[in-house]
Amino acid sequence: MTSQAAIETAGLTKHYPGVKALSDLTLEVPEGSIYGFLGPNGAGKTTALKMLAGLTRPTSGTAAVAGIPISAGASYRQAVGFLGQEPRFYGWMSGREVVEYVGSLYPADARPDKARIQEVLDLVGIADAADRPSKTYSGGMRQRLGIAQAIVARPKVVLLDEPVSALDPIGRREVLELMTALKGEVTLFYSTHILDDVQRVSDHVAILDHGQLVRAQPTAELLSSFTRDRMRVVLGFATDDTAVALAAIPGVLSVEPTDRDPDSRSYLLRIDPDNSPAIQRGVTRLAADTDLTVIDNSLVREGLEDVFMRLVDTKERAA
Amino acid sequence: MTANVAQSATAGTSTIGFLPGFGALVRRELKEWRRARRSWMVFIFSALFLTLASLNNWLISVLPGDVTEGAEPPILDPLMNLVSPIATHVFVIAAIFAVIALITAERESGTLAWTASKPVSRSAIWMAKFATASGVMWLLAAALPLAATVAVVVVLYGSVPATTVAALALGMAMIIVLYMAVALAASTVVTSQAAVAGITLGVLWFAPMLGAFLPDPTFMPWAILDWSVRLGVGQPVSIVSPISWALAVTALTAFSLRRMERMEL
Repeated sequence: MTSQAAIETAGLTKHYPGVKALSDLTLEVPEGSIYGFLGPNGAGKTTALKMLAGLTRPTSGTAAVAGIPISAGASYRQAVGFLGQEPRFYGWMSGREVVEYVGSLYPADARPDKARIQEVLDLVGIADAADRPSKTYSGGMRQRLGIAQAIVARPKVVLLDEPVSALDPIGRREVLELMTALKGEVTLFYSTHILDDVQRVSDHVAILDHGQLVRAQPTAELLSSFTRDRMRVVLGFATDDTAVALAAIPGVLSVEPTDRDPDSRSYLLRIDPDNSPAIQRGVTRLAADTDLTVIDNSLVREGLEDVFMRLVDTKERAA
Repeated sequence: MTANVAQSATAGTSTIGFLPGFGALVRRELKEWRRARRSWMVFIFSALFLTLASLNNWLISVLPGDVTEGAEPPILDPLMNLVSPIATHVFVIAAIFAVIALITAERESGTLAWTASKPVSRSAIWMAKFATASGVMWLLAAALPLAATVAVVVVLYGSVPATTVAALALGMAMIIVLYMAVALAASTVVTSQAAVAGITLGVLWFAPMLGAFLPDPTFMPWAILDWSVRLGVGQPVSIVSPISWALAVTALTAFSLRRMERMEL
């Protein structure tokens, strides 16, 4: 593992009697990244975040933030800002008091001053309501207050458990924009099951299913690795023999007719990702040789949702 | 990773002392007690009970009414009228009800996990609750109601020695500390307020009964209030009761801190 990783976990495991909540999570989160931790409900995301926040003991394995092991207790938690799912604060405290209270829990030399407290209240956009009791805040405001208290003491890493799941579209957008604004200032590691959000703001993604890590990659790399193995071909004047001819092109693994109308037919080709340019040329050549019109001959651009569904065992989950 | 971790384990962090966060946690607890309605309720309930109970004999003596033949005349001794209401332990019950939610409600609402995710020790969280609950409950359930009761007794029955009052205040403080420790220890084991109340009131009522089977009940920690009363009225006292009390409070504290550190939040 490199010393640059903001979070390192090695074999992090949590088993409850009869339940394997998380098994052998080994992950490296680059410093300064916005890291989406994706998985269906019950995949083990919250368990992993609670262990990283020092709230739950791992059954086995280790974790460290900025090189500080989780076993360091309060010193470790000083490096971590945490916001749990559906954050609850002392409702009688105003937003400002919540942030001040959190700041007061830090050692004297790391304690944020009044200027820093005002700075984060401004940053998250609740400065105008900062002196109102936090119990009067809307869901979005509470979430932004949660982010303010998590970042106020300048932790190395901020852990957010489902920060937007319970919000309406406006609140969701505000929080995602805030998370994007924090990029570079702090490493954000957040769990979610909302695929769109991960694709919008995360530069890295890890997918968890049934307590096991399925994939961890930079988001763009993950998407492109799935983009290169499927092609959509639409040919005008195609016949029943065209599918056979397409399957004969070197590098084409399978051909699935998907649509048909009087003028054209559509096919989904599963291809060898390393040969996609040659296959595209092969399709063009076939069309020229057999008097077909090429309407579409492109790689299928899959979204994270498609990738997620392909990676996660949906049948098993449904069962 | 182990090597990296070992090399940089202290990088970028401050020195964390003993019970990190304790001071800030105590300040928050005090703020919460100041705002809480239950603080006033404990004070009013305890003060009303102690003062009215001490009024009882005077009222019987001055109000006209049928006196049952053979009934004992009311006792108008100032010391008896001060000590009797305190010996009922009612002020302890009021204090117990005020603290049963201290940990369980925070655990349920998630604020305990939120605080525990900050650079504080869980021991500091428990100790802050224990220290403030003991101090506040001593003031509201014991000291102020005792002061009011002393005033009533002095006016109605005559003066009481200051040493007696001081010994009673000490005993009330010690018994409150003991039952705060029981309630907060129970809160680290069970998650419902009813269960915490059940365990603590169970100890309050049944443990002395069990103690009655022992050759010397002064060996038990809950004998500390009797001990202070004896001390206050100048009777001979054994050192065993305060030692037993100190051992019990220490054991409950150690148990609670261990449970807190292992609690899954």
